[in-house]
Amino acid sequence: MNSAGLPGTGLGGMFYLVLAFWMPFAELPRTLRGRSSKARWRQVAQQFALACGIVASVGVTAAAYVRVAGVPSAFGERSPVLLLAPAVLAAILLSLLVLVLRVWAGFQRRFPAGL
Amino acid sequence: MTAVVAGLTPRPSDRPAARHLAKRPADELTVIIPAYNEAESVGDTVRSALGQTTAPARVIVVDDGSTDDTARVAREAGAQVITPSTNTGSKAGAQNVALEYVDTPYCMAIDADTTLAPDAIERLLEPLHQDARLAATCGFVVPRHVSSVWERGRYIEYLLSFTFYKPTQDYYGKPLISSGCFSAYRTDRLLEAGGWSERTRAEDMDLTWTFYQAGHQVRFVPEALCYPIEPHDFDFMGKQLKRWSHGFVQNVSLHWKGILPLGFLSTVVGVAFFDAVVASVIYLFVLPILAVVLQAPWILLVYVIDVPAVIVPVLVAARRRGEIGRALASLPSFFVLRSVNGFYMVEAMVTELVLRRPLLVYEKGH
Repeated sequence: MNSAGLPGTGLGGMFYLVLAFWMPFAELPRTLRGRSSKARWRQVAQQFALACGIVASVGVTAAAYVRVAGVPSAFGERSPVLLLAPAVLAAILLSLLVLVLRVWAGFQRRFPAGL
Repeated sequence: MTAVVAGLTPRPSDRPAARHLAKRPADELTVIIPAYNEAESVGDTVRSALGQTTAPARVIVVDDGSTDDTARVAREAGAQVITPSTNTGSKAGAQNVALEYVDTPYCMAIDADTTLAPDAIERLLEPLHQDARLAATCGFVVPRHVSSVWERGRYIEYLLSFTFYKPTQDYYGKPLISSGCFSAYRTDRLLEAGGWSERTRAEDMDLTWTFYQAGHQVRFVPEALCYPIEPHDFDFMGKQLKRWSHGFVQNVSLHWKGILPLGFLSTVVGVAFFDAVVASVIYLFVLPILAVVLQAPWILLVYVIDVPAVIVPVLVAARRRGEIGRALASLPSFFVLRSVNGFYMVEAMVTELVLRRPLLVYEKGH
């Protein structure tokens, strides 16, 4: 098994973008503590550059979609907000779900006999 | 289960698997190749394992009840062949048969339709040799043949996953899966985990998450390359997608409590599961219905809305391999494969979680 789920879609894509953008900030404290290396920074730079490339590619395509191609926009000027809203809602919903599951699992560990 | 073996003795149970590490780690490695009717491909697999820059101590092929010439071809290529008395019923079962004969500190599992780059084992073993916390390492997977729409879809999927997702997972210390087609293990850690479990249809994901829960680590080594034969037609691809989808759902059901305390892993799994549900429903139901109801065919563009996001890592990986043209030509197939994958994900969720009818049969689909 080399992949799980549906690679490249929705929330997952954005999740990995955020992770890639966060890498330099995660690596900096490691560097200050002397626990980093050139190889790690190379990995950070590669993933960060990929994330920048993806954002640029999506931005250029969106601009072309709206302004050049003249494809009808269903949401008019509010389209970025309306497109972003489901993603933000999905992220919030998932975070809540994980939180609830964690609390539930913790509860079951503390009281293994259950109620 | 008894097995017919030439020149191999089972490892005594009281004998420690780990011993002093040699300078050339591949000398301390056993390669395990489970095979069922793989006469056409197993010879290349064995030769690629034996022809490594650091050759393994031994290559064991488990001929799991083949009705073709798998055993003869493997033996002629230089492997030691184990023949269980009956078919074990799964890849995990076949690998566990061979595990009893492993007496090296490291072992590796390779699919019988997978060949390796000449330095793949050396590169995969280097981190294992250097870092005692690692239980397993896995490499970069590239389809050997890229011709049919399914192979092309997989080609793009792997370039995307192994260039963007997996290195990111690796940076945060938790690659989601140590791929079963090409992974190296510390033998004592593998034995401690009970070998490859047969309780799910995705034994590699099960093992990877078991390692994490035991406090061990896994690394992704992008420089280590392998080339499996991917399903070339819908029949084979359907079997593989079914097995992977059910395997994923089974592993989430099995491990969710255990991985919840592992913040990054549980979030990655949660996101993957959420996407698998939501995206599948959108692809299969929401988009077609909206397009018809609103009489707006342009809504169907959502199927390929993430082309700009997918194409960047794919082209970066393709450029490194000198395969830009192949990648561009294969890109549409990725979206076909993903939509079909959506169907199998929904089927697996409904069958496993709602109807409570788990997939129990391991059906080969490469």
